[in-house]
Amino acid sequence: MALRLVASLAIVLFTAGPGQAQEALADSQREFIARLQAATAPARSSSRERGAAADFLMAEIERRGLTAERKPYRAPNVHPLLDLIMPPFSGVNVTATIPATLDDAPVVILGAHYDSEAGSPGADDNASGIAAMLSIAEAIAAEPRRDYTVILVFFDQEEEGKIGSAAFARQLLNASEDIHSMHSIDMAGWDSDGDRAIEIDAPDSWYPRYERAAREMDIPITRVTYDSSDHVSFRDRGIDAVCLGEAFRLRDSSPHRHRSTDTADTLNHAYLARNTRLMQGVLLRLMRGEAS
Amino acid sequence: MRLSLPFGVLALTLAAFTVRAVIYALMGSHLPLVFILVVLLAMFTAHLAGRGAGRVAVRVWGLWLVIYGVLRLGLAGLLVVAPISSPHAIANTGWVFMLVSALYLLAGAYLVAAWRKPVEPAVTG
Repeated sequence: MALRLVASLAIVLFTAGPGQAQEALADSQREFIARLQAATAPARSSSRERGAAADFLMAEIERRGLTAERKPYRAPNVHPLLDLIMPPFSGVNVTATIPATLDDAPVVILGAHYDSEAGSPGADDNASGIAAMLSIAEAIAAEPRRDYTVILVFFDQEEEGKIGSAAFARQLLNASEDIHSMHSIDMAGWDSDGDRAIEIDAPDSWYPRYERAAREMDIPITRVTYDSSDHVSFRDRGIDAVCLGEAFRLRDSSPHRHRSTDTADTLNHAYLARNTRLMQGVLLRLMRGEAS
Repeated sequence: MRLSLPFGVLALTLAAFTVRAVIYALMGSHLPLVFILVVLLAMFTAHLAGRGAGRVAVRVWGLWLVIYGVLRLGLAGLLVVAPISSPHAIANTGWVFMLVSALYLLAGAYLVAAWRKPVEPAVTG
């Protein structure tokens, strides 16, 4: 079943031209986001809702022929004084590992948060990131050469203050993993003016690669710095971390964010597919060991 | 011979804070551990000083528990009144949280009252 799914998607993507491939990707991402939204309605916020979302993601990862794993964690409160009063956070990150084709390869993290604000279906924030990361992971898994081990991870409790990603980064560093870099997408499905513009928070070592890929795809790219997404949990621990998203600074970001109207039918799926292909291109070059 | 009720309540409240401190210390947050160590050190020092200092220390601890219980109940009430979107806060300030808060408050009040005069650590029989 999983093999047939991957094979049919691969046939569609590899036999079609770039335009058709992007259209096919947009359609499959639209369908995925609608299914995620239906499976977790009305939101992915409460413990029960997030549990349903984790179950859904586990099944989706397995459907793609990868082995999914739950990584439960407990974490202190955001303010230390609250530790005297409140119980700790508890949640579950959902992960899958795509092994490198070399021995002792460093690890590249692909991440997106799967929780949403209470009452919001979270299609843009952040089912768009989940759909993108699943597509990228599929493409990487189909690569015959992979110079890096890839860990795909869907973070819990980003909306509470990046709790899941901080716990995951801590677990990785405690396990002394050799982390090469972290790449994430948070809100990448809104482009009301159709200018294709994206924003990226990337370190000096990574920005030129994304900038080049964006130029090749005729995507206007702006470099920004922000602290409001999961990549910060890695950046704060000295890891090169990238986050790609829609044009917040240019004031073209979803007005539905954190609202009950953040649904799949409000997204610009062609824009999301283009952004997915941008990050996918950069990471496939990395996997193939191509000079960047 | 068994622990007298006032000593039992004192031991239980200290144990509750110690367990919390250990759980958080294992997660890398050390404020609860520092807090309970300071409390235990202060109680031990007061006990050694004699002349009723130990009694005062327990009553101060009891007063803290009253304030602590009121703070927790206030926080739970605030979350009902004020719109807050944190699922963590909403999920963890339900009736169990309020019940435990009320127990802290009652235990604190009991300790303040019971330690007005010297208390025997154990009862026989």
